[in-house]
Order: sequence, then C-alpha cells, then structure tokens
Amino acid sequence: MTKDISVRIVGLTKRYGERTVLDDVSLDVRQGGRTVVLGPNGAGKSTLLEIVSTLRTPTSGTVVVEGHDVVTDVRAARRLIGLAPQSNALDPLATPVEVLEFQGAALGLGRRAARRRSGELVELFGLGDHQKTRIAKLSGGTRRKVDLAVALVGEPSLIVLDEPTTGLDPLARIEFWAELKRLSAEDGPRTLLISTQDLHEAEVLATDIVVLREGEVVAHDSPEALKNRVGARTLTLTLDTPEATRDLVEATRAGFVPEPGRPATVRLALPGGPAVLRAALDDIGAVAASVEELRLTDPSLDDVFAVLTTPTTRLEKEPA
Amino acid sequence: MTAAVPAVSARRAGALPVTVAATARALRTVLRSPALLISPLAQSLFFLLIYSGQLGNVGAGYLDGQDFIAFLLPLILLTGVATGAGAAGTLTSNDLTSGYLDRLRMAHGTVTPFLTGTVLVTLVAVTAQALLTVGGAMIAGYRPNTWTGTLGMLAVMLILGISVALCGVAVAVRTSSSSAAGLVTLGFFGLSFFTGVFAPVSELSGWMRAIATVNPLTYVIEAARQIESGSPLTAGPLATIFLTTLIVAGFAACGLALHHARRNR
Repeated sequence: MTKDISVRIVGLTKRYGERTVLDDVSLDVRQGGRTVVLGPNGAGKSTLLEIVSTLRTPTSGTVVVEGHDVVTDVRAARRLIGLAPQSNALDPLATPVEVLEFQGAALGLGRRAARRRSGELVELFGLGDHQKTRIAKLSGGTRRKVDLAVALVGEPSLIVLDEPTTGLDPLARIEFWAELKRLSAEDGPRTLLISTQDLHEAEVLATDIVVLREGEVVAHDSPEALKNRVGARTLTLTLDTPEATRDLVEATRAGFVPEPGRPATVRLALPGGPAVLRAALDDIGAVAASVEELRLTDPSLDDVFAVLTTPTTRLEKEPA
Repeated sequence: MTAAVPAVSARRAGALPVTVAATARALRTVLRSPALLISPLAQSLFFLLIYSGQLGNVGAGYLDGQDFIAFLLPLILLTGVATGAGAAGTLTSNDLTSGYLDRLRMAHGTVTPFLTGTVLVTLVAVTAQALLTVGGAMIAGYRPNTWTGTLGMLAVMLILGISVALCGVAVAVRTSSSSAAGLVTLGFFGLSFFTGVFAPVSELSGWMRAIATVNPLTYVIEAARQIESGSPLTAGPLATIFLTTLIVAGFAACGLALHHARRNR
C-alpha cells in the first residue's frame, strides 16, 4: 500500500441473499483528501461506508485502512476510523459533554483524559453554549456538530461521514461544510470519506469524487477531471413543447439527452472537437422553429450525473 | 486543533471500566426517563389498591386467616418486575435503532459492556420499584411476617427480573424493535395471571387449575409466598429449576442474538 493511500478497496462485493448491493468495487481513497461518494438512493453508498467503518463485513474482496484489513485486523483498523453515521447516532438524553466523555471511556481513555479531550472538542466546535443542553433539545446543525465531535474523540486519521447534512437547513449546511473543510485543512493529514446524493455538497466538499450506480463504481476522479471528461461545455436547449423535445431526442445525431424533470429541455455535453458541435447545429436547425432558449454553460457535476444516468455510461479514467 | 490525547489508538479499553461507564450512562438515561421508573410502580400500586380493596374481606375468609395483601404481594411484585425489567429491551432497541450501539461497538470492540450496563441498571430500577411497592403495601395494611422473609420474596422476584431483562435484550438485539422487545413483558405479564392469583391453586376451578398447575410461574409465586410467610418451601425445587432455566435461556438467547447479528453484518 503506497504511503499516500488511506483506504484501498479491492474487488469488494456485498450481497444480501440474492441481492448484490456492491459489485466488485475497487478504489483508492487518497490520504488527506476529501473523497465524496456520490450516487442515488440504493446505489450502495451507505453499505460501502459501513464496510470501510468495520460495521459490516464484505461478501468478498478486501478493504485496507492504512495497512489494516477491516476484517482480519479489525481492532487496529477501528482505532483509525471515526464514524458519523447517517442519522444522529447519539444518546438524546445526554448532553454533548456527557456523550463525548462516554465515547472517550468506550475508547479506553481514563476519566481525566476523556474530560480533557471532551473540553478540546467542545471548544473546537464552539459547543460551549450547549454543553449542558440535552442532545434532544439541540438544533439539527448543532447535533451534527456533536456527531462529528464524537467521531473525533479517538483522534482518527480517517473520518467517515454518511450523508452528513441530510435534514439540515441551508445555513446549517453551509456552516457544517465550512467545519469539515476547516477540519480537513487545519488538522494534519486527516482523510474524509463522505457519502451524499447532493451534487452541490459534492461540488463544495470534494477533492475526489466516486460515483456509484447500482453497486458499481462508474466514475472516480477529481471534480474538475470528471467535468472535463463529461464535456468542456454543455449546450442546453429548451423547445416550445415536450413533443418537439421528444422528436429531437429521437432524431438527434449529436446525442442530445432529456433534462431530468424538465420535459421541454434537452442537453448535450460538448467535447473539444468540432464534429459534435456541427451535428448539434444540424439538430437545432431541424427544430429551429420550436426553439425557445439556448444556453452554453461550463460543465457542472449535474452534467456528470446527467451523463451517468444513461445506464451504459462508465467514465473510465483518462490515461496519464 | 488542540493537542491530541496520547495513546488513544495504542490500547483497547478494559471491559470493567467500560462496563462501569456504561452502567453510569444507563443509570442517567433511566433517571432522565421518568416514565420508565414510574409506570411499573404506578401499575403495581394500582393493582394492589384495587385488588386489596375489592377482595380483601373475601380473601380473608378463604385464606384461613392469612393476610390477603401478603398473599397478593408476590403477584403484584411479579407484574411490576415483568414491566420494569422489560425496560432493558426498550433501552437496547433505542440504542440499536439510532445507530448509537454500533458507534459504541466501533469504539470498544464489543457491545457486551453496554448491554451489561443496561441490564444492571434495569435491575437497580426494578429493586427500587419493588421496595416502593412493599412500602405501598405497608401503607395499605401489609405487615411483614419477618423482614428476612420479605427480602427473600424480593430476591426471588429480582432473579426473575434478570431473566426478563436478558430475554428483552436478546429480542431487541435480534429484531431491533422495541415493540417486539415489549412482547417479553407481555408474555410474563399474561402468564402471571394464569397462576393462583387471588386464591391457592387447589381452590381454582377446572381449566384454570389445570393451566396454573403446569404454569411455571405458579411455583415462583408460590415459593415467594412460602418464603415470605416462613412456611415449608414445597414449591422451592420447581421454582429453582424454572428460574435457573430462565436465566440460562436468557444468557443463551443474548449470545445467539449477538452471534446472529455478527454473522449478518
């Protein structure tokens, strides 16, 4: 295992009876990076994170966290991992300080050390005003901070966050993202592995993105590289009726695809060469009378996702 | 970021300090959930009040001078213990469904200290409830034959409480459902009424006597009555066999449930 790899996953498969949740997943998570696992519901994101966190065991394949196999060397692997699960996995009747100190005790810290560590984390996350409030009475954003603080009690080098901002209001989400970036930037070589289905969250947080679909990795690269591979720019075309859009999609030579949730709109990722552009202009010419709006935009993760919704699409990493 | 605490990753926490911390945490949870404490106590006192008020005089007639409340008390305690000890299952399923128990398992390596803490605290709560119920019975007119006898009766009920708590935890671990864990309480509670509730089994009629004769709880209640009154302990052997079997079954059920959870991760 090379020094800059925090997690190495090789041939990971997870089945529940006949149902395959993860299918031969292989990927490396870079040390010190913020790797975001993107995918729709049921893609296998949570299962992947739970296996990395040692909470589930693989059907086949290996997961190695900084040199420690999560199955055969589980105790050592667990010491390196801090988990913030999807729901607030906390004791609602305890205060943040009580939860932090209890986590310290569970990890084997003495009472004094647990108290000191709790104090550090309360200060780090600005929980001073809430330290005597029961968790059930805290706001969603503050609860999530406590969740993250609990994940950090053992000074883990890998932090696993499963859909960390689900259910938070926009302001709390922005604050939490800032917290995660600060943690990643100011706290040494700490690796963050985050799952989400929120493209904006991925855009804000990710240094690397893994896209999962139906248990398979369909893309893994930096956000910029993924956008560039989807297309340098995106052409979005809105026609006057859904029927005209359908006709265009059926007859397109350039490869226009429907925009999810907008029946009168199609989009096309434009690669560098002129061939697709010329074909697109021909397509547009054929429906010129129906055109209502045409936009040319820089690529976003939405475009990556739009391309990946085509079942056969897989974005292979470009050769170096 | 402030300085790291040294050696967090170097050692595994010993089971005893973690069990002590888990017990303290479970105690805090129970103290902050008044319903868990009050509900079984209120239920016991309610039954005591109603049954002694309605049947006290009648009972005195067919019990050959034996105090009706003293006769009734083991059953009242048993229903309270079944309800109170069932809280172990509820607390465990709460931690399971929230994912908190997984988090603690990750931190320590096993869930045993956390489940043990829950069972221990449940038993402390059940003991407090039983003592308060005896206090309530004294206000209603109960006078212990001997304090040793009364404490012996409480001990029998607490042994039963251990098995109810273990079974509740096992069902919670197996199903992650508090309502399923509640079925354990319901089972013991229901079964307790197919015993000699208001009269000795020999005085029961037909089918009820047949059921009470084969109901193991009959012998637990009977043994508790005999210990309380200082009578010969004729129900002792069967009660001991039943309680031992229940405790072994409780531990075995917990072990199997944890094994099943491990295998299905």
